[in-house]
Amino acid sequence: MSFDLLPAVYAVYAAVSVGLTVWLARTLGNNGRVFLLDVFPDHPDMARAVNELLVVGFYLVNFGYACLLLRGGSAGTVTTAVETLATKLGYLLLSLAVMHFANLYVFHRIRRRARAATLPAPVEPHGRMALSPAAA
Amino acid sequence: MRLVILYDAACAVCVRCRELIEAHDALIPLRFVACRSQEAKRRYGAIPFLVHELVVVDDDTGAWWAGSAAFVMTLWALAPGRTLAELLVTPLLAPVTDAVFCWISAHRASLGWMAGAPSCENGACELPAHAHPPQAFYR
Repeated sequence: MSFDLLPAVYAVYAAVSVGLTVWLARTLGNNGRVFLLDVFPDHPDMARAVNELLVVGFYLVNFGYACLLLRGGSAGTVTTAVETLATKLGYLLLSLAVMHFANLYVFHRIRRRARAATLPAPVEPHGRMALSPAAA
Repeated sequence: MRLVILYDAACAVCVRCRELIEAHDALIPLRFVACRSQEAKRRYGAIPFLVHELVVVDDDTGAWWAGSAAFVMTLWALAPGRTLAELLVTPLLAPVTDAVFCWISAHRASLGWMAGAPSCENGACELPAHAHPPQAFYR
């Protein structure tokens, strides 16, 4: 007697995908806030807003992709059920990884842009001259 | 950091470059001073390469760069140029940057035809009349 294990696969997949997405989004939100407060020290409201918007985008893309991955697969035996579940979770994890690193890159760019004026010059100066105090 | 760019106002390529730089978003405040102007002589006359090379001075610290390093600093000050500037000073590309910049700098007078017609508004350039090709040429 064989069971159709697909509903069980779907249930485990749904639970894991929701849990992972929420956990990652919260991690991103908590740590992203530190980055953004460094970028906008005078505008904590702005930092919070940018952070919230990034987290909402993260949720939207990942839940959307997780829903698309739910469909399909075969689970006639326990072996194929495990394989189907693993394949779905594998795609989900890879997409989460891509999104996560994309978000880190966005934070990095925002921070780099804000610090652009204070970063050290890429080439050593050839010399230094005494400037007259009457600077224009 | 505030950069003062001491450029050759009698060179069409240089004036055109000034226009291109001014059209882009700068990450560091930039100011252009013609290298033969009274202000340049008075304030930056101590720099040995002035008038002969592109010179960039940090008006806060007095640090100055000449030649290709000055070009890299100008590029680095622009939002769209920063990544390229960091690439151009890597050990692999630095000699190429230097060679290309020196060649263009040395031939800047004869490369005027490449620059298009620079606008000479607000005294940005001191080009002789014959350096301005007729406007119709560019249409």
